[in-house]
Amino acid sequence: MKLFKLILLLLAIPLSGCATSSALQQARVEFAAGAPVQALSTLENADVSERDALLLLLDKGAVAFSAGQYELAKDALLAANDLIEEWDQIRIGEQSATLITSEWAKRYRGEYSEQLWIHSYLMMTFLMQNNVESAAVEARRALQRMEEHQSTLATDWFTRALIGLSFEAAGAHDSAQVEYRKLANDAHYDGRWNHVIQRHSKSIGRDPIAKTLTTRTNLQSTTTQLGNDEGELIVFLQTGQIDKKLADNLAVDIDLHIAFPFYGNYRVSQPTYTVTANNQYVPVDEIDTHLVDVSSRALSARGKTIAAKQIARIAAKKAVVDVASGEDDILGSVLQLILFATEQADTRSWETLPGWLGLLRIPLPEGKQDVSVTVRHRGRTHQLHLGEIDIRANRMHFATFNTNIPTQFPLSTPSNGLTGSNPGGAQPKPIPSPTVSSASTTYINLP
Amino acid sequence: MKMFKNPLGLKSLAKALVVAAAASALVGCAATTRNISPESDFHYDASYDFADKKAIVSELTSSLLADTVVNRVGDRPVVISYGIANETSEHINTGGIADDIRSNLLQSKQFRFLNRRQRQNLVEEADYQYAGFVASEDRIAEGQQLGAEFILSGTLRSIEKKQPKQWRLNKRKLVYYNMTLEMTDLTTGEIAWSDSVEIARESSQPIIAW
Repeated sequence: MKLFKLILLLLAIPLSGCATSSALQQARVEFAAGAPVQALSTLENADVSERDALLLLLDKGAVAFSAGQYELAKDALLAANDLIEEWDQIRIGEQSATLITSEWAKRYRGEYSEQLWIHSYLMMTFLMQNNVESAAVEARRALQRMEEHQSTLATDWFTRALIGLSFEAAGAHDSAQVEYRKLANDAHYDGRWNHVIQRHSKSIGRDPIAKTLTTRTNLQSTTTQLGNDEGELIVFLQTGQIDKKLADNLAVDIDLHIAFPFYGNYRVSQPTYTVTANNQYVPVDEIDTHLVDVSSRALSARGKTIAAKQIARIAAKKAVVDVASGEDDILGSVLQLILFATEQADTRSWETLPGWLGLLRIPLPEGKQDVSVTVRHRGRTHQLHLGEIDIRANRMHFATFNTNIPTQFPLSTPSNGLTGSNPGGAQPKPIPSPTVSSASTTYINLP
Repeated sequence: MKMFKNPLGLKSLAKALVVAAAASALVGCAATTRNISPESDFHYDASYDFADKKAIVSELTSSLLADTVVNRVGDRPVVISYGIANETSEHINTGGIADDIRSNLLQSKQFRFLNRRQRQNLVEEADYQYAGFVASEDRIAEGQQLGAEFILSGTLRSIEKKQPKQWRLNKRKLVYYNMTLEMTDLTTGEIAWSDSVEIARESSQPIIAW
């Protein structure tokens, strides 16, 4: 019996650490302060436990993407996806540990929404790298995730639009049309991207969907058909920061409580986007997702599982304390303190995500265009000067913008690497430190 | 300090929990490596692997070599490869399939291939030779490159189905791959030859592990 006591004590103490790795915390602070290169360096040197291995990869992917380090972002996010697949098993040992400590003892596998956004970031990364075939692979993977958790993820308009865009860019027009059609027919879709869908329908000779949309659309911002002398600028926007999971407790008894994670009453403050080309406002088709809205749905979807696990944990902890108390009252009291102190809500999440992910499609005439994107959000104005972009007819040009990262160039000067033209179709060079910009551009030919 | 009665054998449950958790923390597996034959045909899971690549390349090459429309005896048609499109849900390097098919066809001595990847380098090298650095008698003759008669291209597709969520001990995944290869006649635009290989595989993984 003494051995039992010893095992129990030894086990309870190391598993009670209910905090994300300090290196991750530090990197997140650095990233939030607008220093992605510093954050990336911290993450590169971070040594986290297996429990937080996924979070490390997710943070690395998001930070590297925002820093324009697309190869690094790709590697981290593909590894994150592999880890989720590998961990798709119930480990008895791990479950046993969580029954006498808390969910913190478990490897963090990400909410369904976060698992989907791995593919969203990979799609953006591959498009920025001109790798349209791989972007389409990620679009198919994202669709599989969406099918698995349809009711939870359906309102992620950004990712749904990005899936269609990835198929379109890869020349898989039938698949793109299917996704656009599903989007257009969704009862909750507000029609913001109707002109894009109309343009695509017309371009592949599918009039019926275009006609349907004409009656539903109330936006007249952009053209419904690209001219032969027009190309498209597509901007991926990351605005603000995602809300963090919070912890709450429900007292069941004087020495018994249930701890659970939740998302607080977050403010819905939708960003507005304006784009100028050669100092003239240009029409924009925009679509975006408030990430915490989808994340809180994903957390709620796990609500029943979380509750069942908590009930089992209370019973297990009570049983352990009861056994120990039967042997020795003092040991029982100490164990009760330890086991119930470890009852803490698992508030881990992918915190380097933005508050909003936005996708802008901007038809522009062929030739040099001096483009600026302005995002207004929560009373602040963020401006990105993309510089002079050589728009080519029938081509998609891509750019990214993270409003949390201050552009370290005067807005009137084109940023390093932002040539806007890439005739060889080569990968854009990573933006070197310390002249970090949150933006970079590339383009692909429309098939 | 007795908190409540224990009529359901909770004492045993508690012990089992502690032992299971302790065991999981202490158990470790030693890493091993070994060489395996590239010809071996085994799969860790349902996804595409090198054994599939070998099967695809072997079947399609044999089919193409046996075709008498494209593979005219003694004619050695000139072919240019436009690669194989990956339309699966996996990041598969289809360039490897295209390269292996090309190698097999070249080794058969029944086809000639143009090197599309090196075109820019060919131009640069020719420009260099004619820039005055290379003696005139050593320069290559320009305008002597072969013209392709056929385009070799293909598509790899997949359909993946996971077993629906339900009470079960194993989760099953079914993957179907279809690889289509075709030769297009550059003069007429017609598809002169086409064939496909299909691979269907089911994998099963236990849901519960230690």
